[in-house]
Parts: sequence; C-alpha cells; structure tokens
Amino acid sequence: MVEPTRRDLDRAVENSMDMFSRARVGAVAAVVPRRPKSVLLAVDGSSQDAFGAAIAGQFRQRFGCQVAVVDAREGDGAGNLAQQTAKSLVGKAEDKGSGDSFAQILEAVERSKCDLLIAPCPYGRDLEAVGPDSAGTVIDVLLARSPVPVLVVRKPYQPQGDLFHQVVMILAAENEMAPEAAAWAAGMIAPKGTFHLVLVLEREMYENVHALMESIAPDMDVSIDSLSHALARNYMRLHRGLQKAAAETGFEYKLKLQVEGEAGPIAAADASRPTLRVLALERSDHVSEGAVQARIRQSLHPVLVVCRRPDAGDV
Amino acid sequence: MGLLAEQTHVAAPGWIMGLFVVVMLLTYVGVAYKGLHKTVAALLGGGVLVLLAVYLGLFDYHEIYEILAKDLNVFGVIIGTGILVDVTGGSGLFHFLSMLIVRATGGRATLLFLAICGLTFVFVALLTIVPAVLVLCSLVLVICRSLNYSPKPFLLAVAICANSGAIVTFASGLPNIMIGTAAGIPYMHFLLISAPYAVVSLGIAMLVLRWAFQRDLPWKQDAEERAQLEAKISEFDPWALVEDRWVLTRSAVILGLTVLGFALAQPLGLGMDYIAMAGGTAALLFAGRGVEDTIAKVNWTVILFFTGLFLVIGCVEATGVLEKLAGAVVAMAGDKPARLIPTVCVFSAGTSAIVDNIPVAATLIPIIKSIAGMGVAPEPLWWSLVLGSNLGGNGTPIGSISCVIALHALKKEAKISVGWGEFIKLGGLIMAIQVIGAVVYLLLLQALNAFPALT
Repeated sequence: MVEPTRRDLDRAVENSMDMFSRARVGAVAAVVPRRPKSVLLAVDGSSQDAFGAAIAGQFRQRFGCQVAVVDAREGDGAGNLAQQTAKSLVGKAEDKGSGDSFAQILEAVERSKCDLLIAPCPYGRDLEAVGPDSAGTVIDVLLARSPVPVLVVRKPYQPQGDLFHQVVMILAAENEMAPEAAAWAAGMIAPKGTFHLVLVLEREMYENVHALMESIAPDMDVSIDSLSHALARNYMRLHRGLQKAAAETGFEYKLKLQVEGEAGPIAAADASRPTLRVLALERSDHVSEGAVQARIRQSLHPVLVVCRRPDAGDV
Repeated sequence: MGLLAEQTHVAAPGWIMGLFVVVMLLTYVGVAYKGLHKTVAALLGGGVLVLLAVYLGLFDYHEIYEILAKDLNVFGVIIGTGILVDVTGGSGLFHFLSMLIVRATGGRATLLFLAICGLTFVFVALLTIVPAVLVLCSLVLVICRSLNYSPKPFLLAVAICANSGAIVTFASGLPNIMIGTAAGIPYMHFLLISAPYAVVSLGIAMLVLRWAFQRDLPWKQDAEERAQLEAKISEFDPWALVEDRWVLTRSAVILGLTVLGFALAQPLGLGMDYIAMAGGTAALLFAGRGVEDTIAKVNWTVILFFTGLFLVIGCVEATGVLEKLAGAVVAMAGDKPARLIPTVCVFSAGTSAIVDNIPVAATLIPIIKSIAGMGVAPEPLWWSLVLGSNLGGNGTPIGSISCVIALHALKKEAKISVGWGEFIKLGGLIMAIQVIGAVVYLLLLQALNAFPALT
C-alpha cells in the first residue's frame, strides 16, 4: 500500500499521541457557573444604553440580582438618565460624582458592591465614529483597575428573547484567569445556549516560537499542529470541567482548536444577534492585555472581560 | 481491463509480450525500491508502456481512457471512503472509543493486549489500515509510557492484527476494493466468506504473539499491581478527547449508515462507489469539518499511484500475455480448485510479502478473470486472492503498511529497532500459519460448495 512519507508519518503519530495525552486530565470537577448578585450599569446617553439596560434587566430577571445605574458623564448637565434607567430596571440610581468618567464609575463600583460592571464601549463616544480604532480611555482604565469583571457593550443590538444563546470564550495562551472567566461564561449563557471554547493559536506566536526553537534545537520540528496541541493540553482540565458543567446545566458545549485567521465560531458568529465573547485578562501580562484590547476593538458583539482584582493574590 | 485481449483476442508477438512484462516488473521493482516513490514508479511505468503500446500499434491512444474508465469505481470508493475516514477520524470518535476501551482494561497487561488486538482488528475493518494503525500505534505509545510497559509487543500486535482486520469487509483495504470491484463481489459476501476467517487469523496471530512475548510483559499481576495500574489508567478520561459531542455522534451515525449502505448496495442496485461517495458527501455536509480542508486531505498519492498501475496492467493485458500466463497456470496446476486455491493463495501471499499487495492484486485480477474464462469457477480464486494478498503482508517488515508504520513508530518513539530476521521469525511464522489455515478454510468451503455464486 502507498505509505505516507516519513515526515508525514512522524507528524501523524505525534499529533495522535498528543491527542491521547490530552486525555490525561485526572479527576476534574465541573466548572461551577458564576452568576452576578449585583450589577452596576454605566450609562452615557449613547445608543448602546438600551442594550446595556436590557442585559442588566435580563440578569435581574434570571438571577434575581440587584441593579444599580450610574451616569458617569463628565460635567453637570447630565440630567436624570440614571434615575430613569434605574426605574425601568427596578434598580437603584447611584449618585452622580465628579471628575473623570472612569473615576466616577470605579467609585460607584466600590459603593454599590457590585460583582459585575456593564459599560458601553467606547464610553461617552460614538461607536460609529471611533470604530475599531480605539476602545476609549474610560474602558482602558476600567480594564486596568476594575475590581470586578467588565461587560462592554459594543453594537446597540435590539434585545430579543433570552440573550447570549451563543457564548464564545477565546483563549490564545496560558492565562491564569481562564477558570474564572469560564465560570462567569457558564453562568451567563442562556438556557440551552451554545458555549464555544475557542483556543486560538496566533500566527505571531507560532512564528516567534518557531524562530526560537530553530536556534535552540534546529532538528526539532515545531509545527503549527504541535503548538496547537500544546495549547489544547494546557486547557484540557478546563475543557473537561466545562463539559461536565454543560451536562449538569443543560447548555451545549464545543471545543474548537483554531489557528488565527481560520474559519471558526469567532468569525462565524451571527452578526444580527449578540454573541457574548468572553476574555480572560491577566493584568500583569502585556500579551494578554494587548490581546484583550484588540479583541474588544474588533468586536461588534458584547465582550465580557474577567480579570483579577487589583489587590487579589494568586488565583 | 485488457482491450486488445478482450476485444479481439489477438495476442501480440512474443517479443512485445516480453518487453511489456520486463517494464512491468521494473515498475514493481521501482514500487518496492525505497529510493523511488511508489507513485512516481507507477506513473513512470504507465507512461512508458502507453508510449510503447501506441507506437507498437497495440492500441490507439484514446483507448487508455477506456482502460481507466473501467476502474473509475475504484477511484470513487477511494475518494468517498477517504473523505469519510478523514472526517470521522477527525471527530475524535476512534480516539475516544479506543481510550474508553483501554481504560476499561484497568491497565492489566493481558486485558490490554486483548483490547489492542481487538481494537486494531475492528478499526482496520472500519477505517482501513493507515488511519487505524496510526491511532492504535499512538495509543500504545502513550499508554505504555504511562504504565511502564514495553511498547514492542503491543506495536507488533497492531502491525500483525491489522492484516486480519483488512480482510473483514469490502472496504477494509485497497486490495479488497480492487478485487471486489473487478469481480463484482457484494459486500455481504465478504461478511460471509472472508470475515469469519479474519477472526480465525486474528486468533492465530494473538496466540503466536502471546507465546512469542511471554517474557516481555507481566501477564500475571497481583492485586497490588492491579490497583496501581488502575490508579494510573484512571488518570485518562476519554471524554476529554471529545471536542464536540454532536459532531462525534453525527460522524458515528454517518459511518454506520455508510457501512449499512455498503451491505445493501447490491439489493439497492447501487455501486459501492456511489455508497462511498454518498457517505463522503454526508460527512462533508453534516460532520462539522471544513470542506476545503477535508477535500485537500483526499489521498491523491494513492489515486495517482492507481492511475499509473491501471495503465501498466491495462497495457500488459493488451499484449495478451496475462491470458497466456493464466493458461500456463491452468496447465501447471490444472483446472481443479483443489490445486488452484493453494496456488493463488500461496503465490499472492508470498509476493505480497516482498513487493506490495496492490500491484500483486492488480496483476492477478486479469489473470483470474482469464482463468475464469477457461471454464473454471472463479469464486474460490477471488477469495484466495483476497486472503493471500492481505495476510501476506505479515511476512516481512515491508510486507504491509501496518508493519512499516508500527516499526517506524517503535524506533522513533521508543528507540527500539526490530530487524528483518527478528520480524520474519515472528511475522513469517504467523503468515505461514494463517496462509495454510486460509487454504484449508477455502478448500473446506469448496468441498461444502459454500462459496456464494457471483452474478
């Protein structure tokens, strides 16, 4: 029979061995879905406010959480937007502060003792005008300082039925916040929704590793597949934990290994319906910070960024 | 195949026959020679013979399309099953199932050995040799590292048991597809005739392997050892291999329906190639993989190899030499199946161990057709060729792709080399017993008049 070349054979055996090695996860507990008990919604009078309010309203309905609203626009002429929105959400309006918008929002986060912040992105600027060029200073600072996860609202979707039928959690490298982000994502997905865990191998990372390995071990064949499998191995316990959570909670769960630029759930997300994107942010990691910024800017879908409290210890 | 021979029955002059046979044999040497790619050897041989045939006036150039057209169904089966196997393999179905079963053994050497042999047999029957052996070899290497077993007995078991799995069904291996297509053997006949002997040959292989490796594995393990193994093997969770449960389920359903389709092809009045292509199309539609990526993984090397090979055989057949050879076989062995069965079975096994079972099958197919034209019942001869050409692969380290893959993986990943002498002692012995058993089995079926007639 016509046999594969030695190189193809080696690669096929290694890939298959990698796959079997991934099964060695030991005992894994189901990811425990994390749901907000108290939500703070930041409003700025933009077209995104309605969708942000719809998300907060739905969380209140589904999880029975408290809702607070803050209008953090700079200056005094903001009117009673926070009160009106809070009234419609059966929530509480936070007192308007002074100073920079990000400082007002962070103060409100502390005062309200919320465990999730929902904010339009870019805050106080027109999304259409800014486009994918910037997430805005307010969001940049919130991502750097917020003690709670931040759900940024991009395109002002018309809310219809249960939100977040599709949740896409994206991981591109080792990230210590991944389990926490997965717990939040599993908590927010709509009943019977679909959860995609997408492990993306970035071409830049592959090229860097390949170049380094070529100088360290020239005989070693570092392929995109082998790096992709390594990334997958890193997250197999999380994958198994999410599988178990899916079985217990009733949502559909899929794992996708993807090389950057390939077709997959990220690109395939229905642009007419909001897909919740979930990102884990390691604040001390510049690569993680840069990747989160870039993905928010490029996304029209709402993005949940889960990060460690600035004063928290190791996860 | 065989335009001139079939259409006019005019044999070419002896020197042309000799020349074509020499080029054919040189092609086979090229196929067996490591320094030349098999596909290049086959295309080169086909190209030279077409040129000779046209310029020596054997046939007009356009007739090569008729040569190839007769085997289009083989291409259909290869492409369809190739897509199906790639999609179902990529779904993780076979990784999942094999890990599930291996975990159920608790890591005990005896049960693990039985599981690996059984899995190899079943996976080859469903997937064909190359993808099945790749899965099993990698499984063995990972599990043996974890449990501190030598991978050698298990990998040799994979190499050898694969050739038993290859005779289970019509679609288990390329020789079966070629022979089954040329002879018009329905899928169900494989389950009636070759599958039972596949099980027997598996039993023979397992017994000899168990005896040969009696000192290489801890066949008897006490309660404490078993508990330790259980703890180690339970670290593997097969569900972690499942990326998408629905893709896995859909892949299993499509594969199952395709196997059912193969079994029902004849009553439905459809060809195997249609069923294979339908299965491949369903896999592309429903199994959640990128269409372009999957189509790109169709084994074009095999298809080009067959293109060259079919041209070689078609050209040689056109000289009438294969018909002459068939006459010589009947003259030597007589027209009695009791003599033709061992002749075909032993010859095909012996040559398959040295060259490659595909050219052997391709060469013997027109010869058996010619023998059948001399009033000899062809059914026993087709089955002799199926069993002989597949089981012959156990004879040498290069006799079968399963041996090539397993021995290469053993050397690369475990730094263990198995020499020709060592392999022939084991594989050659198993092949000899299996081939003798096959001859006895076929003679018994002949005596009982139990071969289903081909229409």
